Amino acid sequence: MLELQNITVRFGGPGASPAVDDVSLTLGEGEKVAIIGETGSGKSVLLLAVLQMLPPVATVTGKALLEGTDLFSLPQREMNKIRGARIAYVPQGSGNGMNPLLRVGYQVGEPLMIHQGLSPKAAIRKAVEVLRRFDFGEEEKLARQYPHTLSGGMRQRAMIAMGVAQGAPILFADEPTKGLDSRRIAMVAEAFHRLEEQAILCVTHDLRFAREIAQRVAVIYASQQVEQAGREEFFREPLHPYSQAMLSALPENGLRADLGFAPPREDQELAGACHYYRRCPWKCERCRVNPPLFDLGGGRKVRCWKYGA
Amino acid sequence: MLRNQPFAVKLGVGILAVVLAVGILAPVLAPHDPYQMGIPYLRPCADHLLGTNDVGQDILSELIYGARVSLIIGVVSALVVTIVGTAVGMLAGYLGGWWDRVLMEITAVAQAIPSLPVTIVLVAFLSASLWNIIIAICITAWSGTARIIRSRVLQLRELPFIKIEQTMGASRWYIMVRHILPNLWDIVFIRGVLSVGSAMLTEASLSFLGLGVIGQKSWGGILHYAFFRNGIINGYWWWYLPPIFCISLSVLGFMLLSYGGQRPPERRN
Repeated sequence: MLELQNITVRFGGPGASPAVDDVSLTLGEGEKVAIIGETGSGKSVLLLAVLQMLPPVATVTGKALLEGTDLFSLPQREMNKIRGARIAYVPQGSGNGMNPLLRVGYQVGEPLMIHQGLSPKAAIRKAVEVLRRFDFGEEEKLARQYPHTLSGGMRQRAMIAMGVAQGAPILFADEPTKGLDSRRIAMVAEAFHRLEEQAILCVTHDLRFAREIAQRVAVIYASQQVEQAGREEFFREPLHPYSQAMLSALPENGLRADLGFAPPREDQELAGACHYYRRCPWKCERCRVNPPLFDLGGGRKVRCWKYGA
Repeated sequence: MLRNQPFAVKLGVGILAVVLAVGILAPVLAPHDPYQMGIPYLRPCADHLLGTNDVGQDILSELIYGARVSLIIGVVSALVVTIVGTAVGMLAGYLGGWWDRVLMEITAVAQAIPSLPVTIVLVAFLSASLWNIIIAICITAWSGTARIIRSRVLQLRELPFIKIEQTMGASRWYIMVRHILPNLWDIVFIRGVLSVGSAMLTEASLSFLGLGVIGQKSWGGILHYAFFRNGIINGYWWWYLPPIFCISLSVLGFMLLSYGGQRPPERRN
């Protein structure tokens, strides 16, 4: 349904090191995919690049095929018909994701006004129905409230409701659990579970949330995709050393942070080496050349010489 | 709505209500026809509460009719200035790029021009009718508002709720009208109200210099005659003090009203 091919994003000129480096990913109909990676690894930039919402200094190459049409070849006007209608986006941070001067119902119904030309009244009525799908309780009252009267978890869910109100078949979510406590995270996960028909591409650094909602997982480290796997295999047996490091840092695995988590640095000597070289426990001479993303079959891909030929 | 406002705002509204009522009801309130001549230089007395001027016109009636011109010029200029300034600031700030460059260059030019001399020159060339004076006042006065609005819009457009509108596929115009503009309300209100005051002052200055609306009474005009027909030298305080008081009071009224914009309107619910 959505196929991202070799997407590369650079900020400022062709010489700059890329923020997203050659990422390819497919999203099937109704499929839930989580993109996992630490802060600054380029996950959010990837989503914004597909929506063409990056500032003009960014150059994006590659292809984003939505049912065969390359989104990058579309003019802005056409792109506006895709945003919100075909691909909905739930941004990071619920804090001021809503206009403080407009009521919740109006804002949830806004995509309907924009894309279906509904009157505000009809759109708000629809918005109440959408809110009901998320089980807020007293949805009519909620629709008449202003955003500042909502708690963080409610606002996050209201924003997901806003994303799906128009019935867009694809939902991009950028760290929907950021800053929420575990009960609110469960509520967001529950909200995602209710979206059975929608395909979801969710960027997160919350591994447990990813395990809860995703069918497939892609790991991004320092702008490159280092692993891709089905949920079960990934959490049972992660292949890439970085994935292993992340999983072993989970509380149930003993909160171990002994494998380096520091962000990568520019290092002339290591130009062209595997991005994970400096803190990889398995590094060897071969790793001075960055490995390609090896396809191991069965939807498993990993960027590490250990699994290569 | 007024009940939750601070005392200063209530006082401002009170002052302005009185000034407005006087302007509207001028024919009813004025004890004399302000153009009717009589005995000149009369001190305040029972028949002429504020005395008469050099040609024997009743000064109180002049003041009452003068409220009309001052208010019309003040309010209309402020409306034009605020609408133009807000539009320019919003387009430059939100659309950016060429819009921003061109509009901000124009704004810079408008700011660089010394406003009073230009206004004087314009009125002198255009002939001093009500509308020409309004045009002359507006021609430079919008630039400050435009700059302030632009800087706020630059802040606003980076906020997540505007970003989310863009990712929702909303057009630029829709976002500007529906999301940016309401969030500018407090500045627009404050700037708008304050520019009524400054437009009234400019009008008074113009009239004082003898470039006011010809044939109509205005507060600045009364001052003009008081000054140039030796009212001030001779100490005819009833002639020159009342218009000064009226101008100051109205400007004060608008300044007090502007405090009303400091309370965010989102405290509804």
